Order: sequence, then C-alpha cells, then structure tokens
Amino acid sequence: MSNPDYRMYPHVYNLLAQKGQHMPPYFDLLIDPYDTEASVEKSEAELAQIKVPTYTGSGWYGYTYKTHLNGAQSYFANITAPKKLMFTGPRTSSGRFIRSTTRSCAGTTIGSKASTPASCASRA
Amino acid sequence: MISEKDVAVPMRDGVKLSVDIYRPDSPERFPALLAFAIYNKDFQGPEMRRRSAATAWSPLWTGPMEAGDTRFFVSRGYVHVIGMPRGVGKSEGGGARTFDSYDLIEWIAAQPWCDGNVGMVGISGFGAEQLHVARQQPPHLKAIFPFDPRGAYGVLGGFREEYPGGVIHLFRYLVGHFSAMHQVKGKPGTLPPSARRSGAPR
Repeated sequence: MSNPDYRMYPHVYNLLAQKGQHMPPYFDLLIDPYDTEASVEKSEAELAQIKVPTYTGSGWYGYTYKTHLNGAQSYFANITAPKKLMFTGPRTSSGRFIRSTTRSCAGTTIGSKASTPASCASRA
Repeated sequence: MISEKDVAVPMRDGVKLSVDIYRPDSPERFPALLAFAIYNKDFQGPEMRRRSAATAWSPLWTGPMEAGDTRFFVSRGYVHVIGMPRGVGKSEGGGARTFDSYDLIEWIAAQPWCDGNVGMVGISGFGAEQLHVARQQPPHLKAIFPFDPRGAYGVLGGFREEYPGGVIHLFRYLVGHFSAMHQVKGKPGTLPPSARRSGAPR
C-alpha cells in the first residue's frame, strides 16, 4: 500500500485499505480477478433457470462500461428462455445517438429525440 | 396519473422497503412494470425525467433516470413501480436482500390496481436485479427487459467483463467515487444551530 500508484486513485486505495469492508465484491475482484471454471459453470447453470421471456441489449457506446457491453452478450448467449437482443451503435460526442435509440427501443427515455435502433437481433 | 410516494412494503422477514407507485387514474386493473435497484428512487420517476441534469451519458453520472420513462409507461396502461432494496435510501436496513425483488413482485401482483402480470424494466443495476430475480422464478413475473445489465459471471462480473483485454476498467471506480450507490448510513442527528441557519435541510 506504500506504492504511490495506489494513492492516485483514492477510492481504490480506500477499498484496499479497508480490506473489503466497503464494496466487498469489488475488493474481491481486485485481489482475485480470475474466473474459476467452477464459477463460470455455476453462473451459466443459473442463467438456465431464467424461464421468462428476456429482452436484453447494449450498444457499442458501452466500450467505456464494458460490464454492460460484454454482459448483455453473455446473457444473450446463455439464456435458454425466449430471448431478444438489441445492439445499438457508438454514441456521438453529443450523446444524441444513444439518447434517441434508447428512447425508441427501450421505452426508457433518457433523451428527447426518437429514431429506430441501429440493429436488433432475435432468437426464439 | 396517480402517484403514491414512499409506500412501505413489508418483506417476508418484516423489513419494509420504500417504493413509489405511478398508475393510470382509473379503477381498472393494469399490468405493472417494476424497476428495482440500488440507485435511489428519488432520482427516478416523472419529475426527474424533466429536471435531471445528470444524464446517462454525463461523465458525472450518478445513476439517475434508469428506471424508465414513467409517463410513457403509464400513458400506455401500465403501472410503474420504482423501488430500492433494503439498506438503500428510504428502505429499511437489516437482514439479507436475496428475496426483496421476489417479495415485491408478489406484493404488486396482489394489489387491487394490478391485473396479476408483472414485468421488469430498467438499465444497468435495474437490469442486473431483473436477471437476479428471474432465476428465482416468482410466479407473477412474466417478462424482463434488462438493458445494459451487469456482467453475467461472478458476483459483479467476471474477469472477461471487468478486465477487458486483461486491464481492469474503472467503471466500478466511478460508481464508488461518485457515490452512485445510495446506502443507508443511519438516521441523521439534529443539525447544530449554525447549520440550520444556513438553510440546510432538516
């Protein structure tokens, strides 16, 4: 912890110094980042328990939030219930693209301009 | 639209969650759409849709407006319910929150304004909660729409999601740094007179 590189990032430093008392899942991720085969199998078995129709999605704007970008693809790949996947494009610097696509596709309005999504895929 | 704020919903162990309910102004029964996450419901809903400055693409994003567009849903014949699990915001703390979504879904389905059909909506943390509770198969949950959900592996996400290309990315850093997760820290005490004079909330 004496490494000054840690102190550049106070939140990460505090997480490590508190040894998991704050945001324990993130602490675990920092000190033990790798997936075990057993944990991957467990996660995929749990996904098979989803029985209701599922419509998931993300977009290439998610390169900054990769948990979303990769997560949506992982869920779509492993869910066995009826499912659909929406993938939108990268956002522009103004954010207009994701505002508009998210509004029209998701009904989750976070902007004011409607348009059609860049791409949608479906698999029964 | 009928708005009911801070409705206390008891869970199986007696802990009460705080939820906001928005529904069509009609005696009929409607399907309900639940948005449930660790992001404070006071930053969701129709008022914040109009007023929020912290948009989802803002570099200072703090988790607002991801529960969906209340007016869009309600105007099309859905009830929009926005809630928070135990230990977050106005919901009570204590115990495990494993079945909070499950119990809330079944509570919604039994309400006089609900026709028994419950779906779930929302982005990110709201999406992750859907994928969590769908595995438990609550009888009245009919469909989910988890947009931009979290990683599919592990507690938060696995190596492939949290370390893209082998390098950790700073999403979790940002979530913690901006206090996007609204945790209960206990009831605040009385402010000193000097702070009260400053106009701080009581």
